[in-house]
Amino acid sequence: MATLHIDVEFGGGMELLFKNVREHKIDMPEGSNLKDLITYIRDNLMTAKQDLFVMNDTVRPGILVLINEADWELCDGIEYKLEDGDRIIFISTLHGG
Amino acid sequence: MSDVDSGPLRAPKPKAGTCIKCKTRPSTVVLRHVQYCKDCFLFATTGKFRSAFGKSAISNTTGHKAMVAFSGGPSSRALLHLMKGFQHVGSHQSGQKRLFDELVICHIDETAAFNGSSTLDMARVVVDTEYPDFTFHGQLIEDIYEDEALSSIDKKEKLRQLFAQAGSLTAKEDLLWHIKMHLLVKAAQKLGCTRLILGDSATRIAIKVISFTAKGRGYSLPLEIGGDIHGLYPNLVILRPLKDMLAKEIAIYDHSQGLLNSLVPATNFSTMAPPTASIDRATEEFIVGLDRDFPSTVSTIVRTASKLKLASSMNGQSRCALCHMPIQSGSKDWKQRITVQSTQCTRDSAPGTLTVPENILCYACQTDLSESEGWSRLADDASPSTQLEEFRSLGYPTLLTQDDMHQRIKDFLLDD
Ligand SMILES: [Zn+2]
Ligand SMILES: [Zn+2]
Repeated sequence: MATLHIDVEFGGGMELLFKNVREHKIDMPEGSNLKDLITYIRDNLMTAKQDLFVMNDTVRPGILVLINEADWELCDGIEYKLEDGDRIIFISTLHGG
Repeated sequence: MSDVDSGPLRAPKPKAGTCIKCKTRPSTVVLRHVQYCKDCFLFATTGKFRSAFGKSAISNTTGHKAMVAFSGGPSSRALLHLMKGFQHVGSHQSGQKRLFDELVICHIDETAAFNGSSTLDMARVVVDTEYPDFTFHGQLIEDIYEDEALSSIDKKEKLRQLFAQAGSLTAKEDLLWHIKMHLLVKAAQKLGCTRLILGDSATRIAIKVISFTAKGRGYSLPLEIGGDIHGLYPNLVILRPLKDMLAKEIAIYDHSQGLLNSLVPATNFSTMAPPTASIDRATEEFIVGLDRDFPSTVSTIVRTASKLKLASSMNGQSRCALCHMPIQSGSKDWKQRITVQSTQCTRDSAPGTLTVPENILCYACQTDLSESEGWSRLADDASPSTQLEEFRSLGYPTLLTQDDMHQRIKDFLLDD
């Protein structure tokens, strides 16, 4: 089965949940969607405070998701089917002023 | 799916289409059901920022030195960048001079309250390298104590004690905000700034409307959310030019301008705190969650709240020593009426409801302080002058001047 190479980036303070590392390279099995990626991140990249990233099987409200520079709301949201080379950015829009 | 879920207000799943403005390029952003391409989004954002200075643009800018509050978070980072563009356009459009004479960027390093590592240098580097036309002013939060006999370590310790005794997370967050506002106002006045520019977004303002109401700050709410506030502080006007921009808009702007790499990390009490930790956090969770399903939530709250008028009873004389907001007279009686004081008929008064220092503190600050360890000493003393001394001895800062104090004591003497 082919592997999808996904570039994941965290910004806006979200990187604090990921040992302050902004850029991650993640391999996902072919056929995965955004929901699978979010679950993978929660289970493999986080050791604490998972609920600040994921709530009810999607990202917590207040987190903006960009799929290849486009608003995820324009790309089927959580159901978006990942493609090899996709760049997914998670940005916290809150905390701090 | 329930009926509510499929109701007409819930956002329909948008289909990627073309931009509403240029009608040619594919959309990449959706805001309040409207789709924009990247270029039109940026154009709309900078246009909205300029028009936020509105009709009063000239009176608010030309001839004024302004201070921009810069925490280094997403909103104030965007604010700084937008200010640069605003100043630039103003200086290049002949006949349309709409710019401030000078901009001071004030960063308050609040890490002493949390044992964090200093943010001052990071903030200074951002300003000095990217905005060399602006003046950087760094301020340590422990400098709220102006006593020169105190060492920097003493001041930090005093601040930590103040927060340690402040009670709940809600009371601590309120106190932190009052101290920051206090320092901004003091710094602005000291440096001769007549405008103080704050980075409150529409999302932040909607959160404030709900949480301030919950905390009993409804009386002064218009002053806390308005875009152009005169008369709250002597010779200082408060401006909130981001008040019509959603937090999402600001995040997309930051990302598009490459600003997310140079954010100053937030290190306050509620950073990474669970959503139930305080009134502010719970409200934030509520509003942001609602806004995702119903994308008009924030705009509706902001639009409704902006119609609120200040009470005509507000005379500007009686200000709270902690938050500096006007004190609503008679809050003691009102509080006693709505509070279940005791279920036992033998007790005719519960502690804390007998003598409330409403001469020096507003209702909400009384509530915050009632959780602190120094409350009983403050509440038991009937004289406002000694209350004020006691209040200060607890380590709380106050913006009140000697004149304010005399006024306060005069009021007290006339009342009784
Ligand atoms: Zn366009
Ligand atoms: Zn107050």
